[in-house]
Amino acid sequence: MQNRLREMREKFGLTQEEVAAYAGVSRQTIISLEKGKYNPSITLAYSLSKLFNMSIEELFLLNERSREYDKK
Amino acid sequence: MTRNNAKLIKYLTLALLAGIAIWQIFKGNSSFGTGLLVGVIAAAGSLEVKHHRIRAMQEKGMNPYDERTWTLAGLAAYASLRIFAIIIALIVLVGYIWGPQVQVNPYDLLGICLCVLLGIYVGSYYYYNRKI
Repeated sequence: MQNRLREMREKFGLTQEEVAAYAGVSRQTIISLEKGKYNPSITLAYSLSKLFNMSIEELFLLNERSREYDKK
Repeated sequence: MTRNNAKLIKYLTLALLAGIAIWQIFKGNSSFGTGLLVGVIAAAGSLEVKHHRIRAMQEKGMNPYDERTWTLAGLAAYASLRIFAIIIALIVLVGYIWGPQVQVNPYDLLGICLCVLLGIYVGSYYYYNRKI
């Protein structure tokens, strides 16, 4: 699943560690999310979208291409 | 069970195993006793390092046991089960048809199976940790 996490984190001037601490996850999880390798739970997606004052749909982009990628 | 209770149980188990190891050494079964004692010392050392790293992460407000960790653990457990089942099935099939009939100590065999299973689990966990 594609997302705008890195873009928003840089826009807000936050480090991966700060985002991880806010969301209550490890820094590795934030790294994996930014790389699009890991799909978050609804709770984590909600927590991150709240941090950046966005809706989940604005932060995480589900398109046909990412659906195909998830199937692999 | 709280995390402190789990930690206490882990250290009590290690102390019990160390006691068994020392008892076995004095009883004359030095190879088993020494092996067990070395294992206990290694486990205690790695547990201490792990707890130190976890504390450091928690002090920063991060959660080392987050959802990604559970996802990895689940994937690794499933992969271990599949790989182990295939390996055992092949060994049983080939061994039953072509292998010699051998007498083995069942406790040795169970110990080896446990080591192999844990090895596959650790390998799978690191594989998925790099992949995801």
